[in-house]
Amino acid sequence: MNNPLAGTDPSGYIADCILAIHCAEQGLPNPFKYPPNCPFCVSVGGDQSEDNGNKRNQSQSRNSENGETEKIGNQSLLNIKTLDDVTVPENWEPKYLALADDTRADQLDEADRKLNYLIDEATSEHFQAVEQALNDKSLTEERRAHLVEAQDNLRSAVFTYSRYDNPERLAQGGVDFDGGNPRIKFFRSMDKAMGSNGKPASGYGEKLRLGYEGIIDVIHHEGGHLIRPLHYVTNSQGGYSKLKRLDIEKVTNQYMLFLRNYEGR
Amino acid sequence: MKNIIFALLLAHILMSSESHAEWFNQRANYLSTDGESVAFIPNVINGVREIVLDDGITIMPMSVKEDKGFVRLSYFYIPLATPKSSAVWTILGNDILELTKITTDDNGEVYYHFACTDPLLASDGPIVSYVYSERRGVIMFELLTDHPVKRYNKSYVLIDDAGVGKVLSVD
Repeated sequence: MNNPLAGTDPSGYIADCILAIHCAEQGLPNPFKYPPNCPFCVSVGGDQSEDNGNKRNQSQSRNSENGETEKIGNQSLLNIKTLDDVTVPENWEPKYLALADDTRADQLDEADRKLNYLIDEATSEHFQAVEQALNDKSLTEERRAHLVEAQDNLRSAVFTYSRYDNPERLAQGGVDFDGGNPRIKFFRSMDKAMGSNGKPASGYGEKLRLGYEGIIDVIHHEGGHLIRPLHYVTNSQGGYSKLKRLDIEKVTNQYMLFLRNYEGR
Repeated sequence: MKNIIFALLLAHILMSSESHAEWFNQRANYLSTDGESVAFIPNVINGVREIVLDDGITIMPMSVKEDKGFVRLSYFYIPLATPKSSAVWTILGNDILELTKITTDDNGEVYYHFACTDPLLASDGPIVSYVYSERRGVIMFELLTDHPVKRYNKSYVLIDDAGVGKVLSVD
């Protein structure tokens, strides 16, 4: 999918910190370490939407450590259906997302930045959903074990963004059967997860939710790929074998549907 | 004297902490008989050298390890020295690696047929079997995949000039 917003500022509002070099001069963070001549480092801000009081905003406030989030969290991510609707908060920095090896900071445009913002926020939602699920006393032992492993691997996972517009997939995840190297890689094609023209995207036969929640769905799904029992076969001593499961996408979709019930809204 | 120096140098190389994985190609593409492609991609994450198998659905990272004269590059154990005959090794813990046969083509290229089994796993056969040559690396392999009803073998052939494990100095 092309990025019609590339190079534009739909809000019409240009913040003081429009270029990375200005951010640096003002002592403000430079999320992607943009080069000084970066032409697309538009940082927009201000109150773009009314606080509709939904729980999403509460969730954002919960994430706040210094109160800044309250100021910038007035937009409801739940209302975001396309990248056109996204306003990246001024001075926003990713909490989780780094650039993949195949992507340089100077290649990113505004659409990338908006998508990175949504992915980063959705990753935070995913962490919270796993945590919330672990508080559920009614879980089966098997599912609880999945969540414990998921939480462990999420904490050490590397989340990366590739500007590659992958025509076949939105993201991919994996973990070593020896327990190391968990990672989730998002492609620029992640914007397709939001659906288009009111029609949801589909992931391995399961409909994703529209808009921002579609992105959360993908992260729930990829988070399932960090759970070794869903990915690998166990041997007689309880260890994991290189033997791979054929139905891994089916079980990770089930995990995705399961986690929807524990989102912080 | 020269022989002693050479021996010391060789011992240093062999005992060095440097990974011998650098001697071998680690990036290659294969195609299954169903038309599905898989890619092997070298990577370093958190300082750990690994190879990622990307089958178009999920990724399967495996750290590069060395044991008993082999380097593990994803599913494949690549010999550090040319095997002379069929043999069986217990490698990296539990895996049983067997060199089932050695064949030669019309051009004199030697192919080593390996099969790797996890003895702790109730399995219908090797988890992976592969054909390897020093000049081209792994030219084909067959993976066992688990399914709730039945286990499947999927075969892949090399579509690049160089397969995983090709000795980089040979050509």
